[in-house]
Amino acid sequence: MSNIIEVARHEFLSIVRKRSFLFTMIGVPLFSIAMMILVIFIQINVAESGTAQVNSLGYVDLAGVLDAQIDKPEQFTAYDSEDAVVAAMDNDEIDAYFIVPQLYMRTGQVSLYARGSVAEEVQSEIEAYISTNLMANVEGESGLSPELLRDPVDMSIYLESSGREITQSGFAGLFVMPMVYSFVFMFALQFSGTFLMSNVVEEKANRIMEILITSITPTELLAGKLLGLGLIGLLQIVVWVIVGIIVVVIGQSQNLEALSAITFPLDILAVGILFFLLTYFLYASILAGVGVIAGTEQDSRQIAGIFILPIILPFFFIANFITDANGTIPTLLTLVPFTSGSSILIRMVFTAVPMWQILLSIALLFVSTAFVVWASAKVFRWGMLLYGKRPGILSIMRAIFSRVETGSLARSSKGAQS
Amino acid sequence: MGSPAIVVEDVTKSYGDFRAVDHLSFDVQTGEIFAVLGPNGAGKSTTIRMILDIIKPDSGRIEVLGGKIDAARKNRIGYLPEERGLYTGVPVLEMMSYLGRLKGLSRAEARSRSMAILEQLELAENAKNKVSELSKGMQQKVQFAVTVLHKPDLIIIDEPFSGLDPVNRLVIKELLLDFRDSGGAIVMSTHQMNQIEEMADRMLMISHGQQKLYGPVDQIKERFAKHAIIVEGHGDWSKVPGVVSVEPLANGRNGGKLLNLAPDATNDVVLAAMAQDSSLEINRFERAVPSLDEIFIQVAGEEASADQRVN
Repeated sequence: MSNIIEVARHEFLSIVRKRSFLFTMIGVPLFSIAMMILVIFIQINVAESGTAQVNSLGYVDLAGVLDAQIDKPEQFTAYDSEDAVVAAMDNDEIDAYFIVPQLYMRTGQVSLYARGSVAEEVQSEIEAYISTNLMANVEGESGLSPELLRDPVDMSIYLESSGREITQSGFAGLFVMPMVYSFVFMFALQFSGTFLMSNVVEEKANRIMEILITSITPTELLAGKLLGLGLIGLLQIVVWVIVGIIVVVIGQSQNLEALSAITFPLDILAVGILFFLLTYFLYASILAGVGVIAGTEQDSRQIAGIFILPIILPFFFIANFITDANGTIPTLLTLVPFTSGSSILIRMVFTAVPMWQILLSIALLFVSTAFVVWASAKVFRWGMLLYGKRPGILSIMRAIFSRVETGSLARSSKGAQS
Repeated sequence: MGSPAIVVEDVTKSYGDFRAVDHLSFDVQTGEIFAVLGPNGAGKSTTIRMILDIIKPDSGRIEVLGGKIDAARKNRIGYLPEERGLYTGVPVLEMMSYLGRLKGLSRAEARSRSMAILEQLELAENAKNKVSELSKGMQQKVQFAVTVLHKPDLIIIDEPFSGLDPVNRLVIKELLLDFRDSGGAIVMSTHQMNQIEEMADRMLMISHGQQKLYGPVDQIKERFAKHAIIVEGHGDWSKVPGVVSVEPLANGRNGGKLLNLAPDATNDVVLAAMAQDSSLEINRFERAVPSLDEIFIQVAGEEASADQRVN
């Protein structure tokens, strides 16, 4: 056991210490925070520069809508005629003005004149002022509140099957979780997985493998490597979750619409982390096996690419997930170990995934992960002293399923026979 | 010599149709340097890997340090593979202490032992350097340091001196001899015959997976000794009583000659006869014992011509 921990520790440190890893793990999240702050900064700046232009605003009401001047903002000044308001503008008494034409009651058209761009807030202030006054007339008669009249329908959709609430604006927000999950997963795996692989390739090329396996068993070596990589995975989850929370909290405090809708349902989060770890080990042990068989780092990366692709496969079928989340394709993708992680999260958003499917999916993933770890240990033991030619798929299968031992292809390759 | 460090008994190993090791038996005693030699492809690495339990023999029995190899016994072996294995991107001390811990040393032990050996090898100031920053000779010494880090009872070492300059060769040689004298066993696989002659107590030569020569180095050389003497000097050696024929030495310098003796002639008698002959000037007189190089070439050559006959 202590050997496994030593290997895990070594593996963890050797990956964590790499500059490229630090860059991706700390750099990328920092970059996304920086981008967000930049966006907020620009928005605030634009907003500020907009209002700065319009400190006082004149208007001419030819339709008589604003006679009562209910809730008139301080910086609004009423003028009697168009000529008067134009003159005030020329004298710099006001920064902008709007005209409510005679035909307003029929057309609803209002013209705003300004020297430059006008902040959205100013426009909505005008709108609010007009509609408040407009409503005031109706209110007396119907007893309806002006707010209701202004926005008569605010619909919430309750998904009977998943029990989740989807507001219109929140639809995109629900998507964010599975998307981010798959993205982070691909990212985490791509980077740490390739590090694991290149470590194995290097150990084999350096022949340090021979020293290692005269100290510990191949299974201990592989177990240590997977454990170390698992820790890397956890570390990445922690960093990304923290960054995610920071991004959302900052975003929501700044009322960024895109972010305010994001929700983090706890059940999805919990299932997500479980699938993350299991799938992570599944892939990690495959990549370790690939590393030990592939002769060079370049080879290993190419082979690894094939295995990483299925993670994003469910997104090719996203239409099926939205229209019929419990349909055949989404259900199949949920049960296949390689795609189950992201599929189950997408489905959980849209529907109540039957409990037996969740459990079956976890069971299948668990069994396949256990199998792959076992097979990978065999491939590892067999392939670690194999030099030269890359073995074919058939001999790999033979190594997994029959009693084949270390370097037994050695006869046909160089350097292993003297 | 004490109890055996390694016992190999009738071990056979095949890869498919190819028999890499063929009914091989030998033992290695504690407190000796045991040389394993043979042409490329003779089965040396396969034999070593079976001793280390990296691969399993098809048949036969192997005992290491008093029993079947297990994790505890593995921790008492130091192994230096033929093609050197080091982590190139890691500081020397850190790598050594990692490999030491895998051999069962505690964290503190691994560090202090590593530092002590690095000092002994005059590499202490490179402890923080990455392996890739060291010269080839330095890397070689680090590799050796890793091998003996955990104070093993048995060292198995492939070509211990390749890539070393004469000074470092001497350093490593001294370390190996010290290790032997303190009761350790060393298995050394090498092509450098002069190193075997200088250091090894016993040797095993294999070819085609079979034992060709096995025993104390002196005795093997004795066995190949011709009934002849080597002389250097001046004069007509052929007229000396007991000398049958005179050949120039293959690698002779200073007019060295090989004198084949009559079956009944002894070295003493021939020497006495030479000393009495004032026309002869003797600068060197010795029994013609072949070098291991010559024995190796002779044995391997017989193999090769036997092969040709078969084919």
